This record gives sequence, C-alpha cells and structure tokens, in this order.
Amino acid sequence: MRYMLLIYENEALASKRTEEEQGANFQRYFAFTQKVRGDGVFEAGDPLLGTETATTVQVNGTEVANVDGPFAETTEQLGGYYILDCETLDQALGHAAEIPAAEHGSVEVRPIMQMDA
Amino acid sequence: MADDRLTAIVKTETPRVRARLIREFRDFDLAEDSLQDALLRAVKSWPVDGIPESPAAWLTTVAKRCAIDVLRREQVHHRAVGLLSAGEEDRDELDVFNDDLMRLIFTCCHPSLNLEAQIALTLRTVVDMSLTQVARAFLVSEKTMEQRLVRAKRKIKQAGIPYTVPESRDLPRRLQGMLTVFYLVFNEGYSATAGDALIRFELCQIAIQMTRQLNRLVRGGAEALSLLSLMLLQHSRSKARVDAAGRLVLLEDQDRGLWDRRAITEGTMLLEKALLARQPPGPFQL
Repeated sequence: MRYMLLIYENEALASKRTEEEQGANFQRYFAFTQKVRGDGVFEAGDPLLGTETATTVQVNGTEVANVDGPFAETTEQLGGYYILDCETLDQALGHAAEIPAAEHGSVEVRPIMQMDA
Repeated sequence: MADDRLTAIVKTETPRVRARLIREFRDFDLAEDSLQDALLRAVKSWPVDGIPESPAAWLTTVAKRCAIDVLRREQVHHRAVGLLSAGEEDRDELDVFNDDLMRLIFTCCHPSLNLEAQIALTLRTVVDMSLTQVARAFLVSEKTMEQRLVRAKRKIKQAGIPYTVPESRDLPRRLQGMLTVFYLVFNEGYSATAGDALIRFELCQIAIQMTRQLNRLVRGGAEALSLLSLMLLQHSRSKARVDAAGRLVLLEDQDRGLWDRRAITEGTMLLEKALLARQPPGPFQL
C-alpha cells in the first residue's frame, strides 16, 4: 500500500537554524532517504520551498482568485513529503518516526487512494 | 443440559473463530457474516449429530465454506481460490486460534484508532458483546455505535492497519495503549451501573485474561504486571461487593469469606514482582 508522509514543522523556528544546524539537518534527511531506498519502499520525496513562495488558487464560478500565501495559517507548515510503498500502516509509521521533523514538528501519514485501471 | 453445553461452547469459541477468520479473510464483515452462518448451522446440526471434537475447527471450516460461496456469488474467484488453500498449518490448533485472538486484540487497540473506537471494537469483536450492550456501555444509540464501528473497521482496511502482533522492538510503545484499553474494559465490568451483573462479572474476567496474555508476551514488564495485579485485587472482592438484592456493599460490611483468596495472593505476588523489576513506575503501578 502506498502512503504519503506529509512533513510539518514551524517554518519560523526552522529558519532560525545556523548554517551548521541546517547542514546537519540536511545530512539526516539524506541518510533517511538512503535508508528507505535501501529498504525498497521509496517512491518519491522532496522538500518544499517556504510558504512565502506559496500561492493559493480558488475558482468561484468563472472568477479565478490567486492569493498570496498558504491555504491555511497554522503554527506548523507543510515543508516536504515522502511517498513510500509499505506492506502495512505500522511499517509506514515506523519510517515516519525516523523523519527528523517528527522530533520537533509532526509527520502525517495518509494512505494514497488506489485507482484501478 | 445439552443446550447449556452448546451455549457455553458457542460462547467460548466465537471470539477465537472470529479472530481466525478475520486474519484469513482480512475482512471484518465477511468474517462476521460467515461466522454467523456457521453458528446457525452448528445450532441446527450439533444437537442431532453431536458436538464435534474440535468445535472451533468445525466452525472455521464451515464459515470458510460459507465465505467462499459468498465470494463465488460475487464472482471474486481469485480470492475464493486463495481462501481454499489458506490456513494449512502444522502447529497446535489451539495455539493458532489463540495467536489469532492476540492479533485481533492488537488490531482493535491500534493507536491509529481513537480510544473510544478501540474500546468499542474490542468489546464487540474480542469480548463478543452485542451491539446493544456496547451501545449501552457508551450511553449512545445503537445506530451511533454501529456507525462508529463501521468507521473503525473501514479505517483498519483503508489505512492498512496490520493484523499482527508487533515485533518485540515495537511492543513497548504499544503496551501502555493496550493496557489502557484493557483497564477501561475492566472498569466497564467493575463499576458500570447499567446492565446484567453476570455480564459485568464476565467482562472483568475477560479483561484479566487479555492482560494475562499480554503479560506472557512482554515477560517482566512492570506496567503489565501492575495492571494485572490491580485487576486481580479489585476483582477478588467482586462477589462480596454486591448483596443478594444487587445493592453495593461497603468494604467494612463485606463478607470476607467471599473474597477470592487465590486472586489476592496472586495479585500481591505480581505487585511484588513488578516492584522488583525496578523500572520507573508507570501509572498502573502507582
């Protein structure tokens, strides 16, 4: 079953990291990606640029509204994702717990809907 | 007499057979439907042909046949074929059934389900309480409870909640949650104001059984030992707590002859063992 792991963390806090901390954090993500590749469950995964680069689109009838910023203002923001192909939810949850952001932010695990054909 | 025996057998075997069917079918509803079919057939044929040597195996075989019929009707042939060949194990039959029951308990108590759903699902499938009884325990309507159970079962299926006992390295982080559910099941039996006294007494016993099994799995876990001890000590006074008219009797007025000495001895011993484990005390130890 395929799962999307949505990585949330407080952007404001993350941006205050020193260059050294930033490098160490990057190293940990690199190691995690290597590990899930090695386990044969990795399908995709990317970090996202900050919410200051986000645009939210809504269409009302024929009116297209493009608004600066993320969909919702929350204390933690979506900062990246992984797609893993796991046997069970427990396996996906096990990997999610190894994502660095789980220690100070949150990782939401969502099964991906299976589309036949 | 024969009827009593039949009822007793059905009562003890139902959760085990259900657990086994859920594992093999990976489908709560198909398991439940085929189990009901099999029970119906048992009630008809056992009084005539006699009770089979292994009622659980008999029920499992008949239920599987019923399930295969259903799947054939739905033309899901590949699944039906899979079921026919599944479950040929060499292990001791009772072990297989008991392992399946443990798997079912872990599935029902998965932290991805909310706590209420965990307890409701455990009461319904593991303890084999009726929908009416579970609804009454939560003080909600049967319809509301049914929807809750449907949602929980759907999540198990859609989110891929596994039907397994976690690996030993994952056990500790599951333990506290399981114990909480068991304790709430126990409390439901111990202090519930509604419902049949006999059913409530049985609830306590089932909660104790489940905690015992978990203890076997996590040898020496101080929290699991403490909870078991707490349950045994409370339950040891169950028979003295209520008088003939069903009224509560205060501790000082209780007939101590009705206390279960064996449970008290075991409970005290377990607590000492838990204290000796010298692990940081958890809520149940306190």
